[in-house]
Amino acid sequence: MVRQSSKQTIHKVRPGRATEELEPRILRWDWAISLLLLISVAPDGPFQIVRVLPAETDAVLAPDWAWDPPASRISAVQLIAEWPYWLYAAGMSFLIAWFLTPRTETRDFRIRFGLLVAFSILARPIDLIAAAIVIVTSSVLSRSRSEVASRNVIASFGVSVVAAVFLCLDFSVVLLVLLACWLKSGKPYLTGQRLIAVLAGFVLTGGLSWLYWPGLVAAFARPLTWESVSQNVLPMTPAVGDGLTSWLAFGLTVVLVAHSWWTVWNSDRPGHSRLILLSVFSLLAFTCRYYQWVSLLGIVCLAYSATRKLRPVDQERRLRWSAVAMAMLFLFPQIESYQSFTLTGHWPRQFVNPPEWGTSGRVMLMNPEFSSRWQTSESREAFDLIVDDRWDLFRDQYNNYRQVCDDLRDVRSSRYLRTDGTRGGYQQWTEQWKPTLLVADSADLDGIRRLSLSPHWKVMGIDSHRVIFGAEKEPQNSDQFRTAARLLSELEWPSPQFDGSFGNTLAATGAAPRTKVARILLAMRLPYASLRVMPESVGNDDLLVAMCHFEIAHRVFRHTRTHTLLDQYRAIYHLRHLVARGRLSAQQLVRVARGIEELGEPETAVTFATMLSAQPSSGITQEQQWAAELTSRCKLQVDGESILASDDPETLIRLAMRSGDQVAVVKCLSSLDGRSREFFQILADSIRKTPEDVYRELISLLNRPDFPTDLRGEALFYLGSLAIEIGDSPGAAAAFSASIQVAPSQPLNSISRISLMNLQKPAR
Amino acid sequence: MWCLRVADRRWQQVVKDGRPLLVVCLAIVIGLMLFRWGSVSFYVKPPVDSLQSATGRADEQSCINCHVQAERFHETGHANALTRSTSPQSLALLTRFGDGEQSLSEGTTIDVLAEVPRAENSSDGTASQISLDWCFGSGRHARTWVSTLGDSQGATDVMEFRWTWYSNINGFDITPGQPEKHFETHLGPFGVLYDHPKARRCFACHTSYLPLDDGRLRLEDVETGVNCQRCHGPRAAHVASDGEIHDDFWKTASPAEAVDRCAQCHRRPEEVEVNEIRADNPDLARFQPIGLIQSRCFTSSQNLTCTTCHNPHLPLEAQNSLGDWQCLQCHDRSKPDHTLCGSRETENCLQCHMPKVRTKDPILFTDHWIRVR
Repeated sequence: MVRQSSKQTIHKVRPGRATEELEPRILRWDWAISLLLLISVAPDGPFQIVRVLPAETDAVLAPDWAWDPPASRISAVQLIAEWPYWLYAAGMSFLIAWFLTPRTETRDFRIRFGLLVAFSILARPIDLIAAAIVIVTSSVLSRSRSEVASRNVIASFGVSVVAAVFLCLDFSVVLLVLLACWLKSGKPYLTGQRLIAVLAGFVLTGGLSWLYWPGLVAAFARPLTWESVSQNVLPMTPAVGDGLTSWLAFGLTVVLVAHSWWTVWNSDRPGHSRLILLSVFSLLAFTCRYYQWVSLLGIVCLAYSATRKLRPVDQERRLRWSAVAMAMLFLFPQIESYQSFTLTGHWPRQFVNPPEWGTSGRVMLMNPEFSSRWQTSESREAFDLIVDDRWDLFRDQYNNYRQVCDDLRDVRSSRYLRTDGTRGGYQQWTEQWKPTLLVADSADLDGIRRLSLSPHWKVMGIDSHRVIFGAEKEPQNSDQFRTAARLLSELEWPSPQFDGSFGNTLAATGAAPRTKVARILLAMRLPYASLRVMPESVGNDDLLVAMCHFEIAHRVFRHTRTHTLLDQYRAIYHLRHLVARGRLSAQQLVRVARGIEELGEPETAVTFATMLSAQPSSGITQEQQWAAELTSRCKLQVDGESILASDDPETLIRLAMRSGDQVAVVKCLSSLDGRSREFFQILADSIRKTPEDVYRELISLLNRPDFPTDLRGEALFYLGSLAIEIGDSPGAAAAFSASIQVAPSQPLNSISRISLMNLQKPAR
Repeated sequence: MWCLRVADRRWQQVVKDGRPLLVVCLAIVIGLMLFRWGSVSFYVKPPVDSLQSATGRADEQSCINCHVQAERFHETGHANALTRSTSPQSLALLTRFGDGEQSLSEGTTIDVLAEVPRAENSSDGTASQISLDWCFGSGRHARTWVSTLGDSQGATDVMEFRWTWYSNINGFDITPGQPEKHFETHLGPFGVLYDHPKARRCFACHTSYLPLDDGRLRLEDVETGVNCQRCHGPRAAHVASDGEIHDDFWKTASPAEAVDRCAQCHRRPEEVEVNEIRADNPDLARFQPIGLIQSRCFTSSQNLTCTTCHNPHLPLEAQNSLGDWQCLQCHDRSKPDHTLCGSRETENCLQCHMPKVRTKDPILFTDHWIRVR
């Protein structure tokens, strides 16, 4: 019998067989928990194909001296380099459980759980081999009970070192972790003359490599050289990724590293080498996301000893339930994908697949971090990256590459002089590099907005991570250009034939991906498409919805110099409330204020700008300065305008709606009469009703014969707009046609004609 | 005291078991981490378009204090490449809009008495209007007006006015590049709307300082026209050092580099379609550098540049760029080793080798593709 504590129940096991019987069972649970977590954070579901072995670099600008792990050049090895995600997850979770279980058995529940979660959510497929090498070696070292390393142990350690160099690009970090394992095992083999011999051999090999194999040295120095790569070229800082996962991973890293230091602090004589390695791993874990996982591996190796002890049953239960809860947290956003998989048997796309477009050539990644997406054999067959995330090869070229990307983002093809005397303009480089595809980061909405106006690049595919543009001059892109243009047009102005399928042009399943894609579509000035793609859970008062209506209001004003009360009122009313709730960043607020200024509403723009000026900050920010300039500019406009005092209630309510002022709208409504009041009441209610409800109310109002003729054209225009919004294309076409017929000289007809032209596009 | 004693005992213990190293390591880790996270070079600020940078710019008025070349510069076409629409030159021309054949203006009229000149049209029964904010061009060849608008984020777009004033016909006609028939939209009679990147390109060649805030052109702070520092670079250091510090680009630049600097606005070969660069394309005459660098005079010469014939500090009339003296430097009958004109002409070289060419718009341009025709 094992001793029982007062609060905890302990497994009952027979003496002498306790660890042997208990450990596999516990391992199985940790494995299952890790597997669950790994599956729950799979970016594209458990059936995607992932690469577990590094691929030979095929980047166009890669220098001749580039080093690749020898395994990446062996075709037989490459045949098994790609695995389905579930298989990788099974392997990785087994390794994680194997590694962590003996090291965390004596630890507090929170640390055990934290380590399991951190190791599971931070793991990348490419870490699998490094994990296998380190964990197997560590296991061999810890199982060898002798203080002196046996020949077998040394041999297996040597094999691990060779395997690391043979199979891993970041072999230097793996070697460091192996060294950590060795030090932790306490086998004093590398001492005295042996240590000198090893160091001398290392220096000699390094020197010779520098002369004959500079790529190997550059790859070896990757953990040192990443620091010199600018963050705006290749983002490497942890926790700057998107969403909960990366922030949680970073938080856990902080906690676990701190705990490791605490553990080492409390241990007897930590030893210089251990401390230095611990410092190196801690630095890497905090500052470079590429090494976050493998650094944690090293830290755990150094800080926690492998022991075999029993774990209380209730702690096991807590661990399991906490893991299930955590997995559910990650799985929840993917619920739509799982539903779809259950119903159709196919995993819905989260990424568009460019090889299926029938195009090929060179790919320019505006964020080289996306390289791994282009490393599957299918992609490699069709595409070559111009540069990838191999900073050991492109460190010197990244800055120029970034500037070319900036010029592409700003649609600056022609050469111009920069402040440093160099020449800007992307044309000179794109002619040299000849990219077929240009991949923009979905977070770079400004870049996407401008690129969507470029005469040289056209959209080919959109997913929640990337927007893929194709070179306009490339004939093989033309089929996909047409497909993409057709889909975007259908999303913006749906035809009755549109079945709602996105094909391989737009991939977004689940609320978060759909929201991201909706943002992209809005950035591309496709507000109705954005509203259509937006998940149903998004409320009427969401910033994205308000910005869509704002974009529609702008589109109408831009083409007609007339305000669309329906959209402008909805947009500015909600924006006012969102600003009051602090939901807009300073930059968004300035942009909204500028947008309102461009809508010809200087007073309202001043209201928004003043809200920014009122925000507390240390010193005047650039945005506050812009807001102040906008205020003075708008005040000049307001002062310069000859204000016609009007008592006309209709004029007053129009002005109130244009400025999103609900109080004034309500006040003016009471002074309106008859049918016109009902019309404006419907518009006023649009801020809290669904577009479908407003649409129905407007139809019933228009069906009344006594509805004022002078408002009918405008009302029909709003009806058409609402019909587009809710996807009733025949209704929209009918409403716009009627609007033009009823009021042939109203400025809004200009936009009605554009809408009609798009709605009545021939069936394909 | 008791606390201090306990602390001292603990510290002695710490020192004994080697933990100070741990503290040092931890401090180094935290220090390096904070340095990395707070490092200024964390996000490298890339160089920007020199046109957007106010750094190192001197007051243009200071040029005239020392440089005689600056005296008449204000008369040049470059200096007047952009004016506000309310400038006297602009208003004088706009007043004449619609003077000729009324049908030409397609019902558009211009209210020059408004605070900012305003184009109005009500030909289809709907009254529409736009303001004409800027006047592009010096008037030597033409002047075109634009209206500035903003998109939903405040980025500056432009509407290029449909009607351009051409000096060659001393009247208005359709702006180059615009369709014969206007778009059937509310603002269609006024011209074509261009988005932000194009708007920026338009202003970039007609200004010397073009600040940009998050996509919005700060047109209130713009330096209009091509001034001294547009070609010679920021000159604050030069002024401050009484001319000690100077940029000798124009003295050391190769002909290709020098022409390329002018071609920044006057167009480079890579900015037109390859099939457009052909001798029988009259529209190429508009892009002088492209023609010039196709010429044998340029390819065979060691030092022919735009400034061989043109003195950009003087107005065109004062430049003596139309004479034969430039040609005679290489084609002088008195020099036996010079290649001579096959038609045995000794003067009026330009008439045959660089004639004025009419493009599809009513503009005459000197064809800079110097060749035997």
